[in-house]
Amino acid sequence: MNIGLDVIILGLIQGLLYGALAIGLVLVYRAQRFVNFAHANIGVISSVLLGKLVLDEHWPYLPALLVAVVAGVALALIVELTVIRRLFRSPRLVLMVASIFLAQFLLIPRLIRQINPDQQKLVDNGYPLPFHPSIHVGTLYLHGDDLLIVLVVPVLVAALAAFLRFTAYGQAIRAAAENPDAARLAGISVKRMSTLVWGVAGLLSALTAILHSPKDSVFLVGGSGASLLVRALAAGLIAKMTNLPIAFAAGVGIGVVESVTFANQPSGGVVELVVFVIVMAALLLRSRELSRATRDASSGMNFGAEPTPVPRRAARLPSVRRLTIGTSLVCLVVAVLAPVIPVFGLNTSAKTFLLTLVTSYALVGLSLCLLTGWGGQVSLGQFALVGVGAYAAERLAAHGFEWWAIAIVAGLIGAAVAVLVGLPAIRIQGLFLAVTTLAFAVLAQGFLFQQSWIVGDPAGVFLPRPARLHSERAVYWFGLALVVIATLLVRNFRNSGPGRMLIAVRDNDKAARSSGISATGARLVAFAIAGFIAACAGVVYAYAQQRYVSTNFAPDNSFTMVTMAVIGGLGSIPGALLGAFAVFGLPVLFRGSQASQLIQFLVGGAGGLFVLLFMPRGIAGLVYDVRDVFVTRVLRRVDGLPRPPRIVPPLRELWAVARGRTVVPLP
Amino acid sequence: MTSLLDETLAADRPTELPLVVELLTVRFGGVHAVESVSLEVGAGETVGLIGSNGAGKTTLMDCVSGYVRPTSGTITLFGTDVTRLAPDLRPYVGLGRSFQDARLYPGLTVLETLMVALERHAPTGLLAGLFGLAVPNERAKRHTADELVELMGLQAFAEKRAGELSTGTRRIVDLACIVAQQPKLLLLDEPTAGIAQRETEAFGPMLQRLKEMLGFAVLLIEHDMPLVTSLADRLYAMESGRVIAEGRPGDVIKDPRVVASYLGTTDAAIQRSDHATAPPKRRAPRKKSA
Repeated sequence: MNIGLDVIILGLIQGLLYGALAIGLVLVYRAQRFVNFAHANIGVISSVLLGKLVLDEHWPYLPALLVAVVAGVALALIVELTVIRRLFRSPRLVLMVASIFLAQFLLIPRLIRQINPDQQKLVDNGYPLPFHPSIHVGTLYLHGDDLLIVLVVPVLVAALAAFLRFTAYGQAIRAAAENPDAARLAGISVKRMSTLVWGVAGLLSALTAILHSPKDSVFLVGGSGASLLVRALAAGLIAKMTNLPIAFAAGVGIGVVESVTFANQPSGGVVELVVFVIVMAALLLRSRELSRATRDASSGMNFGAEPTPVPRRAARLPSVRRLTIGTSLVCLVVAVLAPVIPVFGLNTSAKTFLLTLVTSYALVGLSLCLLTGWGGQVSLGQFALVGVGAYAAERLAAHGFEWWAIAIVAGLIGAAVAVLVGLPAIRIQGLFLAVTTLAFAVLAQGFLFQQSWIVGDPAGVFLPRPARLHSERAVYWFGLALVVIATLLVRNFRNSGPGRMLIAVRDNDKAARSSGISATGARLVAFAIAGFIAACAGVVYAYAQQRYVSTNFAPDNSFTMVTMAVIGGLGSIPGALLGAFAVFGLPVLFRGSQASQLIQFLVGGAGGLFVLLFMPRGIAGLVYDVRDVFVTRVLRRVDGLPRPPRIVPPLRELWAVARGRTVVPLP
Repeated sequence: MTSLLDETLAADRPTELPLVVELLTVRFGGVHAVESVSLEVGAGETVGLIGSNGAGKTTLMDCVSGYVRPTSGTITLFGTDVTRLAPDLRPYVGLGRSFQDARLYPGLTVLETLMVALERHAPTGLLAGLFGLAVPNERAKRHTADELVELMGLQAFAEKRAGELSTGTRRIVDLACIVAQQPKLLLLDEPTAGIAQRETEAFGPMLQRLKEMLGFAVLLIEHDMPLVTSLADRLYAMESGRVIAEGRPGDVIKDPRVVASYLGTTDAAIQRSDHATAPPKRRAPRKKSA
């Protein structure tokens, strides 16, 4: 086994960054009891600005650094004041989901060309550094970027520790974090302390991003974001998400462990497996402390668009029935005919292929409707289960299974894997269960899908289409049929005992258990069904793509699925379908036009944030509002009630009043 | 259609004592929340549990429900030792519980809430539910839930979500759930917390009617002294995790230790305030003086 000095030193340097990130996570967690997935991405703007100012504008390093860091802190403050404040009293899981959307939203600085450094200069000169020495340690050359980390991070952490321990503000922050109510009584403004914490976190994030940038110029874009986050989270969890020095030390330790593992087992993503084991061990060992801290927060997580029930006597009326059945039928007919109608170029095979992907996303949406909407379990690894289904499809096809059998067996495999992922739910709930699903997403891409004994060829697999599914249209209709079946199953589930029990467990697991419902059982059932549907989505995805590699199932896609589900309206079946249509279907319709880019921006993290803040019932909420207006009107007619008095006078009369012509007597 | 209620009502009356708690001790870290408490509830009996905040009443009840694992001691329900049994299995022995907050399930309608309570008597399997094969079963539950709604006069709220209801209405739904579950021993944790005086007064007779109908035994935590003394056959008074007095209500509330630790000497707390000129002082037991 290789545990040379050089390996240790490299690990230490990497670990210092993990430690710094972990401190940021713990700081915000202590103040607000949620895992801030956006922490690392706040610094993106600083990293970009520093590069731009030094490389393109030829500023000296230090003033540029100052401006970049101030920008990071300012951004953190803006985020706190605009997003976090608004959700101050929301369930903590909602805040966590908001931070996921923020994380996506905060990548936007990377996409604006005007504030990014010239890519060619970045390649030629490297990311700017204040000095360029290099030190020789054993067989190892340490350059400016490494030395910068070694010099800055310990000073930064020591300064932060001193700030928290010895200044009045630091004490107030700690007091507000320990016991907000008592702190408020003692005259501390908890909200102002929250702003202060975010400012400090922004500073940390900005500096971490700047330190990390020379090593990885595509900072946090693509797959590295989630895996970096998981390492920082592991360190935080070891410290029970409360103890800053332990979190920092654990981060450094994880860096060393990772480096040693990599030096001995460089291939096959064994490092990811080790990190996964660390996260799970920390979670399970700390489960008691962690779940106590978030107990009130994790229960009653209900931010979805569950439909307001239609009164039964209304549901029986023929006109109301015609409306619901008619709308569903029209949607179904349009969906069936989509690949043959020559509008928006939908009958081309290129667009039919994209529509097929939309059906697979709709399936994922349905699985999240059940698991997150009704079960209250946020899954950040749903697209990894899609990957499980896709790889299972290829293996099953190689063993001679028919396409329909593949969908069923792959679904069962997905259900089994999902139950394994959900098993920690016996001991952990809410926030930290979401963390285990994230850890699974990172493990799946980084390790499971790299193993030749699991997936066949890690470099990519090929799934041949059977005769029945030869054309793009046939695959689309296959996907659509699965969506229809899954919709019916999920609807039946909601309207029968198991579905009600799941919601009961989500809303009040103590009361549910007192009426004889096994909370763990209900949750695992939710994981199993959601896993089955997600794996079926994987089969559709696989038949559509035919060739795929592990990066197709990166954790970022799982985040996008959550965004999609929230935009559509969590906990509503129409919402799940509408979410997939809005986020992935509309861009297909307008593909190639300006509108497409606009839609993609709107439905990304920005759209998710907007929905969370201003219309938490999502698109489905609008649909239900329209339906309710209709139902109320029908009921009023049936009961023979008069139309309600018009409160708003007609426009014509208003106009007359505005011109001073007449005075309308108020009713 | 036969109602689910009728079938279960015919179930045998228990012969064993509903609840026997023996030398129960619960420690959280170094704190003794409950310290060698022994307690019994006889068949059809209503037993009150009184004591100041932090006396260990709710912890004791959580032990009986199974949410708190005792450090030592045993809990026996109808002759079955349930000390290590999971909370969701205890209802099968005959235990029912209502909670201090009566939060119910904010996302479910009243009808659905009642159907959840009925699930234990007519469970729908997962596959049957998924494939829509449990229609008769589901219909029976719906039918019984409708009956319960009528019985409790909840028609106006049947299709409202529990989250939209007032505390008083939720308490009534909670009672309807108890009727649906048909427990043989019912744990009530401050059933009148957060509802108006008039509703509190209505609660006593309502509980008595339910008892006559279903024949369950009751263990009751309550701060409203007139209510608890009128309802309970026996009282246990707790202080700092120990039982300091037990016996008939009249004796217990006169016990000098109970007076010193919990009730204080103000008559207003013991007698119903509606006869007195003093303002109602329902939930203000005097803390133990040092």
